[in-house]
Amino acid sequence: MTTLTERYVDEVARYLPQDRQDDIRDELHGLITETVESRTHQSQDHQVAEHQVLTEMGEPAQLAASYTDRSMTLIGPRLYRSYISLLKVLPGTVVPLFTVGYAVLELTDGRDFTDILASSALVGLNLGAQLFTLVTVVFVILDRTDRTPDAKWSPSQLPKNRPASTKDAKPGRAATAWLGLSIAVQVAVFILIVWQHRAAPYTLDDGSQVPVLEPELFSGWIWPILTGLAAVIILDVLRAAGRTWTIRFAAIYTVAQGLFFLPLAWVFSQQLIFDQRFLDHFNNHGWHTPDEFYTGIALILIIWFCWTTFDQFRTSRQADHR
Amino acid sequence: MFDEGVMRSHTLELRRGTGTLACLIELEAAQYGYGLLENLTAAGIDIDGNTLYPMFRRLEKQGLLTSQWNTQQQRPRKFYQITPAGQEVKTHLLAEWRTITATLDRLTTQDSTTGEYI
Repeated sequence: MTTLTERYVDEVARYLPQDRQDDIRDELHGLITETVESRTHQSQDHQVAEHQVLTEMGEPAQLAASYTDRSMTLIGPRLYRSYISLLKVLPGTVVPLFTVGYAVLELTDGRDFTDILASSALVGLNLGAQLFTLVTVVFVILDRTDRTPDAKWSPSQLPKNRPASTKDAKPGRAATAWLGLSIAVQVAVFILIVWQHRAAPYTLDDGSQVPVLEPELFSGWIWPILTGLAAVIILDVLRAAGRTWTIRFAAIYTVAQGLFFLPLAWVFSQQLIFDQRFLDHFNNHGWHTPDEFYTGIALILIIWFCWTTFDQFRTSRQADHR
Repeated sequence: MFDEGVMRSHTLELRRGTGTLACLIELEAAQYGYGLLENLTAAGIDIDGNTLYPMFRRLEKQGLLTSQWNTQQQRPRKFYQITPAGQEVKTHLLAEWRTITATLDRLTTQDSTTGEYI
């Protein structure tokens, strides 16, 4: 018959990594047996002594955790506040934006109103659940891996001015909200780019469905753009989690932004961005999109990229010198 | 009325670091867990069984202890011993301990006439 000690040791081993189970199991069994024996020699009843020793050893899961140094919390106090702030901002912006956008597109397709209401609610719920999972997974990984000194808090992160009312007396609240909003917009853009390609949501007069962006992009230019955008989103999440600007971080950020902005500017300048069928239908009142529109957008993208790069390096140099 | 739980938590906090130092001192000669636990208890240092082995693992991972199973005896036991790196850490911790003791002694020795610490 299995003894209480064996059942206890089995339960501890269940929470341990496979390669360490046998070793710890033998050692723990030895310790408990010897402690119980010593107490039995002091004329204590064996069963009472065993029960007492196991009670002293504590809950098996907790003992196993102390062996592995594994965190017993999903997201620790270092990242908890950023996590909650981001969770509040993201579903509060991306989900309604995307759901309303989806509903409007469906409405232009002339679908039944109640149908649209139901499918939009489903799309919103689905997106909300996916965002929640994604943010949680990223923060759980960050909490277990990011131990660099960059993540340390420094007094330079304090807001420059005291908040006007004590109600808003949380440091960096406005900055986090702004960053959260920017992440939300980027995630929405990412989802929209992929979604419009897969769903081809634009309906032409003959009832055929076309995407908004040129499908050819998906066998070339869109990939650096999407990779850059994804990298910027991840780096912004890191910033929301407390990472401050350093020269190295600014350099990585610039590469990510360059990957996004430069091919995008090129695609605009070459007028390769929109699907021709969509454009013809959209401009069917004889209006022609002027060349200057594309050149202008490409120029704005390049100027925006240069300005943000300059600003990031300036901020990171100031932070490094502080 | 004074809360005994508060007293206990402060005492535990004070003792936490000394457990590691006591183990490093005792493991000059190879010992197995339960034997060490008995020796430490006899010397007046109480360490719980559930903190001892996790501590062993941590110290071994840090290269301060080595371990070896001994299957010659009636019951197979894992023996632990201090490494040269462990010796270095032990020397440093002992010096630190002595400095703290000396400082606390100095702080608690007060001149009865001037009220100053002497």
